[in-house]
Amino acid sequence: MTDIKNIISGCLKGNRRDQELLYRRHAARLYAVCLQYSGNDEEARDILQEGFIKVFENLVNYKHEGSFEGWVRRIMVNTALEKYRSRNHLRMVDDIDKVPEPDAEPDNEDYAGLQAVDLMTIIRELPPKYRMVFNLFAIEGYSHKEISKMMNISEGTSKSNLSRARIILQRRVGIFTGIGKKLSNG
Amino acid sequence: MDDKNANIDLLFRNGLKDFEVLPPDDVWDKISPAVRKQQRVYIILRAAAMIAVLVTLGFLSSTWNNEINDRLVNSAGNTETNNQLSLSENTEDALLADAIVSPSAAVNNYKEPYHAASSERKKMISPDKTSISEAPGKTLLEVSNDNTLLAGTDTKILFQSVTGIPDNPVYPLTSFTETKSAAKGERWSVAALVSPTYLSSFQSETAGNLSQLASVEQPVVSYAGGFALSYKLNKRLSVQSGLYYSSYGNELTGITAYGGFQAYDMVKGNRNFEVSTTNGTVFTNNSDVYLVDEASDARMSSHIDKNAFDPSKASLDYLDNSLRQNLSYLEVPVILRYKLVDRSVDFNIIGGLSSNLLVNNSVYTNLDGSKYEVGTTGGLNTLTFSSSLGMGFEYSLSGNLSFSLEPTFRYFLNPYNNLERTGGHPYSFGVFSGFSYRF
Repeated sequence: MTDIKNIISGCLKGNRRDQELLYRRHAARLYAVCLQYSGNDEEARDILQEGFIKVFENLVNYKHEGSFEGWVRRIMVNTALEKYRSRNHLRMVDDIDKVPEPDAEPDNEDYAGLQAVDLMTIIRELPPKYRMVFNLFAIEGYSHKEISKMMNISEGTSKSNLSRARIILQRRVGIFTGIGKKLSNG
Repeated sequence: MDDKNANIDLLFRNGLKDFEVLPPDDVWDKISPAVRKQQRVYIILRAAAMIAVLVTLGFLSSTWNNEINDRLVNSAGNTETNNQLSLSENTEDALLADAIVSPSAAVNNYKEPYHAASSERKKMISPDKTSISEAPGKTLLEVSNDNTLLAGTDTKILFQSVTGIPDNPVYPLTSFTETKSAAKGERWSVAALVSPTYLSSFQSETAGNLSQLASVEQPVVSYAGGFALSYKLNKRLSVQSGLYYSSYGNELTGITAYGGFQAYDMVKGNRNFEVSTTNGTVFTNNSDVYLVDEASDARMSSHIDKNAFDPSKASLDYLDNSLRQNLSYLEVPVILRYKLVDRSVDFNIIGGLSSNLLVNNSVYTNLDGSKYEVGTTGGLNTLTFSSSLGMGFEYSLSGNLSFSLEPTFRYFLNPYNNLERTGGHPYSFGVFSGFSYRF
């Protein structure tokens, strides 16, 4: 903890070594977050880059209350949200009814054997708005009311998107685990 | 259904919790220049803010200067009117005709540089009685106004030679002094000043931890010195700037420092110890130093396991029983100086703002009477601002040389540590003394 204080102190003084150290220490974890919020690698890189610039820009405002990792993660999530808004502003209309219904809900709840990389692949295959709502609700812990304000949608839309995201994810997880079982059974 | 939803949420939340993916190398190459560019903008903004403050102060002082000038003109006019009225009751009426001048002209002349050519003054006080007598409608008030406002050595002589009136008591001493001094054009002065300084801070009653830290710290008298350049805006008001080097010291008592730890330092880290102080956390950067806190268990932390290393069994060299925290600043003040008493020993009120650039941050201990560097204090602001208030005594040694003594209280406007809540608002006290030369 004190070590990070020291690094932050160096960053605030403009010490390049400390700035790079701060980046290297958190980049891998935060890049995973960026990938989780984006559909392609280029977008994830942009989010990471813009997010870290904001981190250094706002480092002077960090009050050492709560974990630094949490603070940086929030900045990344907000950057991802801004990116989503800017890229999807033309599609921000509530087109929930136009989204095709997924197939019947899967029964398979045996998720054993799923690796993090598989989960990442699955979550990134979600349509952008489903992915965003699922991430904000299930991973970050925001309420539908908060998400509706963040994404400029209604609470009902947020709930619907989450519901559909879950169904798609369950189906995809089922497929992954099914393939895994088939492979393991020979 | 709810369970199923919760399961899928948990699956992703837990599964991705610690997932890490190394980003491409070129991401940092794009971030780094952007951050440096922002820092440059920040520095420029700071500099712009400083310039804005200086310009504002300059404008305010100029405005103040003009107001004071106007008041002096008015008060001088009133005073001399009264004096001259009483004089006229006792002297000849001829005086009335000897020096008839328009009061507006007199005022204009007063505002002009004091070393106005005497020929111009002659125009205002004409020795030609004929022409004077031809000027109708002039009053005693007009005469007296002019008489006062032109107070000066040569003017006075001229006036006497024309009127034959003996030395006139209406010339105030200050007026005369000002004219004499201004005639020499001595508006600038340069001074070299030094002072012992004492840094401390106002402790909050609720800051229990800070109070504890403060109880095992002892401010050390350090020093400050530099040169100042001042410009006299008018008789009483001066604006001053310059460059000072200030050093502040703080002794951390109860910490015993040992040398020779490098042989036992298995981690090979540079920051073996951290010591909390009212000025921020001290980080050691000398891996040869081993510290033992004899006074408090709460203020020091270390990654060195005391169970794995027993300093009493190691052959460490005792250095000293305290650490010395030192902060040095280059200061650029902007100070207004108002002369309250203008006698052989002048008395001034001094106040202003100062920007302070941190140039040295060190923590050291004693080794054979010399400094032995231990570490630095973390999180210190590179640039701080302070306000100052003081009084100055100035004794004129010769025509241009003076001796100054200026007890000054300085209060830091922003904390000098930007990471940690430090010991309230720091302040310093110093008594600056030195010599100044007017030119």
